[in-house]
Amino acid sequence: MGKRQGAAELTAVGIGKTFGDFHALRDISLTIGSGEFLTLLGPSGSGKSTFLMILAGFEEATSGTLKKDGVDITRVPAEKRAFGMVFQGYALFPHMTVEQNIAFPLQVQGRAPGEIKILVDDMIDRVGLRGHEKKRPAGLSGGQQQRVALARALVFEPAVLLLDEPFSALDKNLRVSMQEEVRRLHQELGTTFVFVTHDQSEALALSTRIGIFNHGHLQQLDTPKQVYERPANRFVAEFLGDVNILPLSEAQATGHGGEAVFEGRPIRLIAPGEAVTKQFAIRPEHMVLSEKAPDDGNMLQAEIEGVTYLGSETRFALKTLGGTPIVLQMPTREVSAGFEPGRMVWAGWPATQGFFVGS
Amino acid sequence: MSKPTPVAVILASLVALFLLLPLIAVIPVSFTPTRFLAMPSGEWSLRHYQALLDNPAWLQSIWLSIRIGILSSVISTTLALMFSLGIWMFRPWFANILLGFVLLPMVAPPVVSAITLYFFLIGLSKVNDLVGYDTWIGVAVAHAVMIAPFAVVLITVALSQVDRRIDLAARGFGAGIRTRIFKVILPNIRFGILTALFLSFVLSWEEIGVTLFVTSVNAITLPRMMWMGLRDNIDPAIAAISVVLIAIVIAVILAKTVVTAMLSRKG
Repeated sequence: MGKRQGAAELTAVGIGKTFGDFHALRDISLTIGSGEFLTLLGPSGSGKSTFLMILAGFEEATSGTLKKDGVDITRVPAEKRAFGMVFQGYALFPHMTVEQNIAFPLQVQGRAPGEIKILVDDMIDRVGLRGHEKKRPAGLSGGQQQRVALARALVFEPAVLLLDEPFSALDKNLRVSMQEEVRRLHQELGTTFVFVTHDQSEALALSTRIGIFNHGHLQQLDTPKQVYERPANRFVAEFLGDVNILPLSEAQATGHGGEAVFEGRPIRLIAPGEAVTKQFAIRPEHMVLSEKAPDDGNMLQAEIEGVTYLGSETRFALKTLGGTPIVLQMPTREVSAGFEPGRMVWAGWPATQGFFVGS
Repeated sequence: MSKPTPVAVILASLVALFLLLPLIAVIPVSFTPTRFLAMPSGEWSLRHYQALLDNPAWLQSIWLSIRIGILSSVISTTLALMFSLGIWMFRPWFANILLGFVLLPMVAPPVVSAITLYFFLIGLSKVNDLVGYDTWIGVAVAHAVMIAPFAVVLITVALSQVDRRIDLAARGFGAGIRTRIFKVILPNIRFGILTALFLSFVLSWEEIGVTLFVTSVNAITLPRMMWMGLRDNIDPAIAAISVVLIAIVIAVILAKTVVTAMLSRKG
């Protein structure tokens, strides 16, 4: 395979979609860079799948325009877009063998039989299906069917590959190895990948950028690190993982971050450009538990209410002096023997961690 | 699956026996030496089987019924396929209204359909000799009208088992409507199509109600021939042809059972 005719850049401007009175998507504008691995993340019904269907051309946007490398493709039907697509549940052709499934897009394009054979053979090796070429989908395991679906969607070197919750039917171990596989294929091929999932860890692990959807709105579009550590709003913060929300009595911006007061204790945040609000958020694993008050950084005194052993990590349920519940998670090997329910301890975190959220 | 209890087996056998008895009763009658329908009393004869072979009218009507069965099943299955595919692929909002229309012949009283088809074919006879009253193609068209709803039901059910996403996938890979239909959808409902063809043939083969209204002297199908034989002279040849048909049906069902068993052991 080797060289590619190039990945494509997709630009959505003000895309909206209504089904009757229901607004599935409202004013979505974003650019998916050439060769990017962009994940559309959100709960079910958030509009992420509808947006993917509009990208694929299976649904037509009610408003807005969609461009591919600057060319308007809003009204171009799916069959003329020639994007690769991996469907939820794979959608393999049950009456065709693995080989025939993978060859299908090439045959539709009218490629020469010799060329088809070379490309299909190469793809079968690439996804590790050698020895299964003559089997039908019903005779394959879930992971193998997934590989066929990937091979079929990539064999014609599409400029864009769309993946609609491809791993939702796989068990956890298989899911992780397929994620590796998809990441490897993305690096090897350099195609633009657009991936839909409702699994936060999958999105964080795979993507170059994540677009988070809720109620048909694009909530935030940024790198995994940014959306996790600097979420745009409370929905994004809570959707991407556990977060402690501390209600503040005072808060003001300082130019390079913010200063606030929580239950009489000062809290400092160093994060230039952060909008200061009346709520401070800190993730459980960004805090450290200690017996004595830490020398610097932010700290809270709290009582241990419960301890949960999770293997490599241990999770503590704490209650501050003011009665606010807090969850803290730290590596098990750093847990002191004395951290037991009833103990008064200190939860601390550096001034660079945490963020302000709106309500 | 749990094994049926002996009581259930006995009950099922009794029901089967009750349903099959009239069929079994016809077997001894076919061997009667008399010239009218009667149980043979001591003496058995094959003369009515001989009569089937000697009288060319029987073979002609069998051949006619086969031709009509094939043509009408092809017409009805093709129409049903086009209709069901259209509904499945384009999902118009008035799909249910269309479906109701197509299924009408199934619920309309057969006599009403028969009279309608009678006038329809009489009308056609005035403009051509090929398709009209008392022609074999005319009968096939009339049968196709009566049979099409059953074919629609079978093919619609087969289509409802197809995962829509395979059609979406084909579209996504650039397949036009012809490729989608012939390379993707039809191969996945081939058993439904074969079943529709087979059932259509059987329904046409045994059709008598409409046939009585649209034939007179030329297009004498096998059921029509038997009906005439029964009405005019109570000919025991009817019993003989019935036994032949029963034997064919048993042979087909046995063959199907054996083939299915062999296939399932292999797979």
